[in-house]
Amino acid sequence: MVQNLLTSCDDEPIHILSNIQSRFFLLTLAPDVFDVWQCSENIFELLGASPEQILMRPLERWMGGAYMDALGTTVERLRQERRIRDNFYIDGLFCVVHLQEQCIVVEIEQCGSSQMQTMRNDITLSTFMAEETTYMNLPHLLDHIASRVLEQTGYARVMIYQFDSDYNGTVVVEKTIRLKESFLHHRFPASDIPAQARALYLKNRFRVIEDVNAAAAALLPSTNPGTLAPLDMSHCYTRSVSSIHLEYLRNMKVGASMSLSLIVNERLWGLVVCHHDRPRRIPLKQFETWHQLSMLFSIQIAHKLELIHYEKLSYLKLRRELLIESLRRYQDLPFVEAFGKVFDLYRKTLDCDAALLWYRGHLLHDMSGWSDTSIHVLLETLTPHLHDRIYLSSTFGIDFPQFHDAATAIGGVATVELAAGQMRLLFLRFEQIDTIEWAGEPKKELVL
Amino acid sequence: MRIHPRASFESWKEVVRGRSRPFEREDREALSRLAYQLEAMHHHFELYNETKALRAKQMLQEKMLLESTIRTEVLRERELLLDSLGEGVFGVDAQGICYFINPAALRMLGYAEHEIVGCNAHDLIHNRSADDRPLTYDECMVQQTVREHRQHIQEEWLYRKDGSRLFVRMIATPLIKQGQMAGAVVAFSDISAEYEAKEQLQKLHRQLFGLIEGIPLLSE
Repeated sequence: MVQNLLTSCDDEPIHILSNIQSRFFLLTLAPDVFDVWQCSENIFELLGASPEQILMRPLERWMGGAYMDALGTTVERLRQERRIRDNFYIDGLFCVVHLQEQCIVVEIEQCGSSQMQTMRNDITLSTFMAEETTYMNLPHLLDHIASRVLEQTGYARVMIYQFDSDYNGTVVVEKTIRLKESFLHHRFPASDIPAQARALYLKNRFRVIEDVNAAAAALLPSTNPGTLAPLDMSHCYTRSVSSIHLEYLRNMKVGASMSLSLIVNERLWGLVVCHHDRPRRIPLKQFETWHQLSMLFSIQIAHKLELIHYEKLSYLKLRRELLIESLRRYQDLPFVEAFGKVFDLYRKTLDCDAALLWYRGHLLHDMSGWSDTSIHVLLETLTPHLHDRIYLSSTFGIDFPQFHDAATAIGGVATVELAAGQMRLLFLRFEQIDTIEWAGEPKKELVL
Repeated sequence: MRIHPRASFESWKEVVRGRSRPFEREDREALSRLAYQLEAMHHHFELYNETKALRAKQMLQEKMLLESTIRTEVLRERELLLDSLGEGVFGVDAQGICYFINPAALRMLGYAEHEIVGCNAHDLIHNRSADDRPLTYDECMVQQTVREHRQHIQEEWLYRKDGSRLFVRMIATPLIKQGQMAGAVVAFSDISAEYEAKEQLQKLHRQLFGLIEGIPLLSE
């Protein structure tokens, strides 16, 4: 039952909730004629007309010619340049436009021209791009990003989550002002950001919740008359979020939240998460900048990860070359005998605690506490798990508890078969007893 | 029924066992590459050892061929040397079987090489004594040489293929190989003329002494 409910939480269609944050306005328009197909229920505050008055009627009845010209130009530019989004500012309105297959989506924020003037001198992508980060290592870079985001947003807490292979997120950097509670090094379970939320973070790199207690403004009608389906809000900046997530944030004593996706190799590597203890507004104009900054941060992190990757590969390559060259020196000896001479180098090729070579029935190993019989059982147990001749596991002690005892406390195994089954290499890493500091007990409560 | 999210975010510690430091993608790549490199190195070892065995066999064959060539050359030179001496030379093994004989000896004895090599030399050419009685093995100076491991020099009769005999001076030298008695090498030179001259001289002496015996004593 619990598992079913958790799965249903994963299935919640958060990209078609048909709600926006009530400080903004949203319109969906018919292509070409710009008839209003959907509007947010708060549209009267913008146009002085109720949804019933404007739905299915041309937008130009309520907007001036200059606005319609700017909108037309933006739509045409999007079509020509095949971009996802574009924006324009006119008559105190900042508008973000994006095209869907069968309709145009316009997100609008009311703001004065003086505010726009201030914002022009505000945060820019080029400011961040000009900063020298090449000398930084990854922890240093993440620290730098969190500090700069904290400084630019004015949020009370900025955290960087890094996801593991199961999408549990650990807070690797935290910067706070004012807030005493710290989440640094805490791990958040994968269920906190369910699969469909992660998919949305991949599509739309920026998400803001300006006030967790503000009522959402619904889209009317909930079904788009052009597509006969709820509006896909994946690319909308102003969309509201699931009530479960809002409750989650309130439980964390968060008043406002902003998230930037960190995407590496098309996978959600992490998030920059900003929390504020009170509601906090961010101008719609900045949304696009933060979206671009999320791309910049992702590229910078990917670059550092590539450097780490190649450094590790180079190190392992050197280790292998040392082994091979040393083996060659003993080429006058039989293979097993030669291998015995370089066994220490062999173990170090994969940075392991113990290693084994099985060659045509001969065993060479430094696995203390293991009898030859138990070694043969281990090899036979692993054989069906070889894929493309290789098997690696860092959870071996959990996956094969029969091999897990105090004398031979193994946590990880890597093995490969070669020379048409005449040879097996095996590397062991000892068990590492970890204490995970979860941010709260990692299970969801069920309430009838 | 609806889901409520977690209410508390206070630190909650969990001890996890059975895991290790993670194997990363670099480790997988390294393992894969190591497998290929060791496979190649294993192949290299097999080829190297096969080549080494072949080379050793080839070297042994070359050595044997070289030794055989040298031996042939040495034998040829020895034959030339023996020929040029003008003396007869033959060799016998410990059983007295002739295993080589030089052309000078063949000429003096009137045999072809194949008629004498492989045969017992004593039976064929040295089976009678100077006073024409059968010569036993015990009396044969060649056999004595083999038995006693020392050189013997003697004047003897050797018998030709046609039954005629040849008076020779024989030097039999023991042949020792790797500490073992292997036979003897016999060198001989024809001293028939010397023998006849000596016989003639003895005959003249006998006649002279006969005449002297026939002369009456002065006192008679």
